[in-house]
Parts: sequence; structure tokens; C-alpha cells
Amino acid sequence: MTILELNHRKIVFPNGLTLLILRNERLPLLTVSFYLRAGKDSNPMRLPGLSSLCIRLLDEGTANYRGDQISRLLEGQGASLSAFSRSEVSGLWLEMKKGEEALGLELLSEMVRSPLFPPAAVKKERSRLINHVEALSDEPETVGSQRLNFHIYKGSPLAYPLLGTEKSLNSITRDHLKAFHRRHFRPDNAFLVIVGDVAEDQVVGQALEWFGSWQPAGPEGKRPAIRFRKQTGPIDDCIEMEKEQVSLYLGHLGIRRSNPDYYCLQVLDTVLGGGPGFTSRIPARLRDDLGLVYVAYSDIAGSAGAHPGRFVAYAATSPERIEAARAALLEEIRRIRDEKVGGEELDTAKDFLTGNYVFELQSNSSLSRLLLGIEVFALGDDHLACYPHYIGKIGAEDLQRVARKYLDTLNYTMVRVGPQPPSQTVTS
Amino acid sequence: MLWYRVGSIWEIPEKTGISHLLEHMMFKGSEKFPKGRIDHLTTRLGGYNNAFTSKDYTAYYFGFASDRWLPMLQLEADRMSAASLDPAEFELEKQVVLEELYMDRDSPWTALREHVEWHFFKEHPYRYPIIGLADDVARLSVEDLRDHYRTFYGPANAALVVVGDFEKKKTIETIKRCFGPIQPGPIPVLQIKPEPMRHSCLQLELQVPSHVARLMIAFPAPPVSRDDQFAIHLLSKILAEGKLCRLYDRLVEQEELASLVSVELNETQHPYVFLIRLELTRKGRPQVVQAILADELRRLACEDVSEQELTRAQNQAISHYLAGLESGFDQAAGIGLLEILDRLDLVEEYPARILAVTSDEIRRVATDYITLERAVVGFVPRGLNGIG
Repeated sequence: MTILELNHRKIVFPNGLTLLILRNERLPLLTVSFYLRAGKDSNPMRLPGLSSLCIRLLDEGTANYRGDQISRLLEGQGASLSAFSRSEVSGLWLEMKKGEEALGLELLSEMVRSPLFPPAAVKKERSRLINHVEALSDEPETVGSQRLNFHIYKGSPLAYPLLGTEKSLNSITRDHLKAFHRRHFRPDNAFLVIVGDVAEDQVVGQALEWFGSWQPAGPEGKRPAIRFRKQTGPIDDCIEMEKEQVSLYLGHLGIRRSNPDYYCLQVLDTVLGGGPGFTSRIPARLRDDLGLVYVAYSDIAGSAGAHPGRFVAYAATSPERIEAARAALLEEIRRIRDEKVGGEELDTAKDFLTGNYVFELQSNSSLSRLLLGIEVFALGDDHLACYPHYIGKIGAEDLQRVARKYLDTLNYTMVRVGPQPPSQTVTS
Repeated sequence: MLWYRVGSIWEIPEKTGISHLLEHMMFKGSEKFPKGRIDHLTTRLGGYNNAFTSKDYTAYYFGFASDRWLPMLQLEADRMSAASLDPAEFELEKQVVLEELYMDRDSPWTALREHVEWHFFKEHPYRYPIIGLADDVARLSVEDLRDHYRTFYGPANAALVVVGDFEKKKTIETIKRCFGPIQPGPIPVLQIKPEPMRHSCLQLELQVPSHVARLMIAFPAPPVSRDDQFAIHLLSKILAEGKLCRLYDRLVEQEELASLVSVELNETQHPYVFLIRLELTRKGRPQVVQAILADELRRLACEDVSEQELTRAQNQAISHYLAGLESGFDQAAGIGLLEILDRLDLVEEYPARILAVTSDEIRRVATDYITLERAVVGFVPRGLNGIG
């Protein structure tokens, strides 16, 4: 298969903002996105949800535009704007038709550089977010994942829910939002990524016009260092919820994207619990062979970022079958540590990874994410060409070594969400 | 992507969920491609596969880099005519599907949707959940499944869609070689009495644990064969897309009675539902929200939408259409769906049809379809069973 080259262009403005452009003329569409290296990790400990609330308020009014004017200008053209905040990155995502890039860049610049956080809008958005947080607490998978984070990242902002809690959101003031913005929204902490049907030189000029004069509001604040600790004993946590199924998480601290074993762990994920269909061991065993679950998977490389991600093995099933599911999950984790993966199974996983990445090249949005990843994690412009080599050289010994090094079958957290098993029901 | 003209609409009482269960079983293979082989080949070739079942159809898909996909045609042809449908595997997979069903029931929105659809349709098989009713699924036999397979799985009842970078002549030859020898199979004819139009609003309350109050309103929606669909598409955007839409503006921004508004509209063979979902805030009383909704619907029926509002909705619809052409999967899904529903003309003509919609037509479809007198309203209260 031909290795496709991205042929994108990177420009770093004098103010430190990194601009990435990739021309894709297949459809008259473009994606303009803004990324900031600050997410949940940058929230003060007592203010979970601050980054999420901040990013959602950027389109509610700026120095030169009211919130409804921004909506009118964008939606009028059929454009869609979405805001997101994750563990270590936040951003705005603008999908538009060809020819609207000047408008998009001007409005993005307004939202990023001069949001007003109007008091009435803060109050309303906070209420909406609290309602959304409450709605999410009806999802056992979400509740379990959040509780797992609480144990894995204890003592850091990553331990708390991304959207915050009712209590924390009610504590966030307009001053907190302005301070978060002042501190983290800086050109040298941000990326502008443009992918689609654009004239490169022209769009560089437009980006320079709207972002070139952007200067930080103050000196760079020191981001508190986050200390990550591996757990030293098992944790068993159970959350009762009136549901038909129990959601079960087994997990512990994972790895950073910069870890040299990252690619080896991608192969391990594909063999253990993250491959397509039921080729991976966990879904093959729990679903296809035992009929125990509809959903079961595991992952460690997928959550790797600037901070360590998580190793997670997950299954959901009826209360009377959860113990069998737990035992099977653990057995598969132990097996990949104890026994070398056979040549055919290993080759299949490697072939999957080296063949499947082409699907990231189809849409403007997936190309934007790919470009950002290459830039943020300094993967190099030849990353796509090199990737098959990184995967190709991994052998069975490597896989067993990383399984033993990174998957812990003793010191892990187990979280169960759902009806309590009968043995734990307290009767009076 | 291989589409079969069979979905839950073909199911009868006590056999609900059989189309979806058969979809699961199709991955258990055949004599030539035994259990695990389909996924193994897909993985080995760096691809992806999956399937989905709807009210009207079942579709199976694969995605690969363009230099390695042809072998999968043989696989699809083989399981079209010689799927194993092994009894022991069937019993195991039934348990998997029941777990999927329990997972669905644990979602307040899914539970509410099933409740609303059950009452919206009195006679039409669209009332059955695609996944089936738990008791029915538990009772299905492998013989039921084999009958269903023999009745619906054959070239005459299927459509194959190939999208991407391929050599046309060689591809068509391979398709003929793989599928040509298979007996065409029957073309089942569905006879369904149309569901009578509702003339009074039905109010339902569903008791499931939920931390927020949820409101779902189901209105009748035209099938894809009716050209009313274009005006209804635009009406859905005027009501519930973006921050400027009428329901967001009134219920979320101005009155703060809801925190989320969304609309769902599907392309279907028979008249189906236009669904509005509202997540209510603590001060959002369902009666007040419905009164505001009724007011907005009256405005749509009595007053012309402004040119600006119509253009905005048209631009939003065209942007969605273009975004649906980005990936090979999305293109294949769009083409296959329209072929199965006999509206392949819309692959090319959709943008022109959307741009031709007038404010008169919006007013007419609002009057004909989107009125509370014809709706079923489902409500999940906040804080049942000690929550809240």
C-alpha cells in the first residue's frame, strides 16, 4: 500500500501560536479548530469543571460581538461550532463551507482573545451544565469511569469529573473564569489547525490578520505540577444504582504518549481488548465464547497523553454474571502477562494497526486531530511513513515485557456500578 | 456495504427481535468461513466491519484500504447463502442480545423511546423495538432464525454498495462471480394496514430512575417516498438545531426550562415519528414546557418563517449533506439507505430539493404533521426512587 503523505504546512507566528494547514479539496468544506494546552489538568483542585465552563462560554459574547450575533453569523452560513474540554486540552471546533474561512477566523479570534463572560450567560450556562451533570449521573458507564479516575488520579485535578459537580460549578465565579482565561489562553500555549478546501497563502494571511497581534495577558503562570502515584494495593469500590446491569471497571494508572513502549502497548491493546470485532481476547472470550456480555474491552495506549492515561478493562452484564465476567477479565490480563503471544496472533494485530490508519485520513476533522497529535507529541512530519516500521519491529518478547511491566493484576482498582450483588445486601 | 430489505417491520408478535438477532448470528460464519474467521480476516487486512439493523433494513459493512478488499466479497456472498446458524452459538448469542437489551433499558432515554413508540403505533409493526421484547427474544428458536434467514437473505432482496478507489470493471466481474451463482431467493411482500392518524394528544409517564426530568414528544413523520420530507427536514432545523432555533431560544435561553433540546428524524419506508427530546431543568414543569411548545408549533403553522430563518435551515441541511460525503462509510450508508427505500434519486437531487422548499410548504407540513393533537408525549419525572 502507498504510504500517504500529509504534506501539511506548519507556521509558528512570532507570538508563539502554531498554525497547521492541510489543503483537502475533495469537498467544498473546511474545519477550523483552535486547541489550547489546558484542560481538566489546569483546574484548581477545588474547582472541577472550570475549564469546561470556560470553553462553553466563549461564544456568549466578545469585545465586538454579542453571543446571538456570533450564532447568527455562523449558523446563517450552515456552520457548526462546538466547544470541548478534555483532560489536558480544550478547544473550539468550527466546521464550515468553503469560502467562509475569513469569517471563521475572525470569530474564532474574537472568542479566544476577548470573551466577556457576561454575568447572565455565566449563570445560565452554569445551570445548564449542572443539569447535564445530573443527567450523566444516570449512566452507569460514566459514573464508573469517573469513580475510577477518582482513585487513579487521587490528589490531582484529573481525579474529578470533567464537567465538575453541582457544588464545584456553583462555586465558580466570573472572576475564576476570567483568571483561567488570562492564565491559559496564550498564543504560545495554543494551536490553530485548518484543514479543507482553502487557498493556503490566503488563509495564512487571514490567520495572521486575526491572531498575529495576539499577546498574552500576563506572564505565564506556573502550572502546578501533578504528581502521579501508582497504587500500592487493591481498591474495591461499589456504587449502588437501580439498574438491570452492573458495569465493571478494572484499572490503574497508564502511560504517557512519550513512553517508548507506546507502540508496543498499541499492539498489546489490539491483542487483548481493543481490536475490531471479536478478534481481541477479552471480547472474544467474554462475548463470543461465553455469551456473558454485550460490551467488553480493554485499553491502555488510547488514553496516553502528556499525562499518564489509564489502563482500563471493562465489562457490563447482569448482576448474577458479573463475577464470571470479572474472573474472565482478570484471567485474560494474567494470560497475556504469563504467556507469550503466538506469531499468528501477533502478526494479525500488527497488520491491523498498519492497515487501519488510512481511515484517519478521510475527513477534515480526523485529519485535524491527526495533525494536532503529530505536532503536540512531536511525532515528526514523517510519522505516517515511519508508523509501519514502529509496529513492524515488535516481537512476542516485547509484548510480554510490556504486559508484565504495565498491567498490574494485584494493585488495581475495581469499580462496580449497578445493583448490589446479593451477598453484599444489608438486611435488617 | 450489503443491505437486506428486512428489519423489525417484518416481525410478528412473539417473534420480535429476530432480524437483529440474525444480524448478530451472521458474524458466526459459515462452513467456508467458520466462527471467528470474518473478524480475523478483517483484522488481518487492517479493516473494520460491523452491522446494524433498523425498522426497515439490515446492513453489513466492511472498510479496507483500497488494495485489499476484494476477498471480502466472497465472504459476503458465502454468508448470504450458507450461514451456519449453529444452535449452540445461537443460544450463546441470545444471551449477548439479552444483555444488549438490558443495557438499552438502563438508559432512561431508550426506555422512554420504546414506551412512546409502543403507544404511538397501535397496529403498525414500527411499535416493536428493533432489539425485540425481552420475552420474545428469550423464546426465539434457531428454527425461527433459519426461517427468517431463508425468507429474507438472497440477492433479490439485497443491495450491494461499493464506494472508494477501485477498478470498476474488475469489481463488477468479481461481484458477478461471487453473487451470480446464488439463487435469487424470494422478494417478500409486506402487507401492512396504515396506522390511523391520531386526533388527540396521548400523555404518558414512565417510572424509571432518573436524575433529571425528560420529555419526549413523538409527532407523525412522512415516509421517504413523500416529498413532504424536505420541508419537514427544514422544519426540524428551525425548531431544534443550533442556538438560534426556536425551541432552544424559548425553552433554554429565555425561559431556562430545559437544558437540552434535540430532534430526530429518520428516513423510513412507512410513516414514522419526528421525535423531540427535552432535558428539563429543575424549574421545568412538563405542562408549562408543552404549552410553550404548542405556542411555537402554532406560530409555525400560522406564520411564515422569515427568509433568513429558511435560508439558515437550508444552509444547515446542505452542510450536513456535504459532511455526509466525507468518509467512504458515510457515502455507502447514504447510497444504500436510499436504494433500499427506493429514493436513489436523492443522492444527487437532495440539495436542489432542499433549496426549493418554500415558507408555504413549511407552514403546510407544520399543520399536517407537527401538532400536539397528533402527538404522543412521554415524560420521565425527576428523582424517582429516592434520587434527586
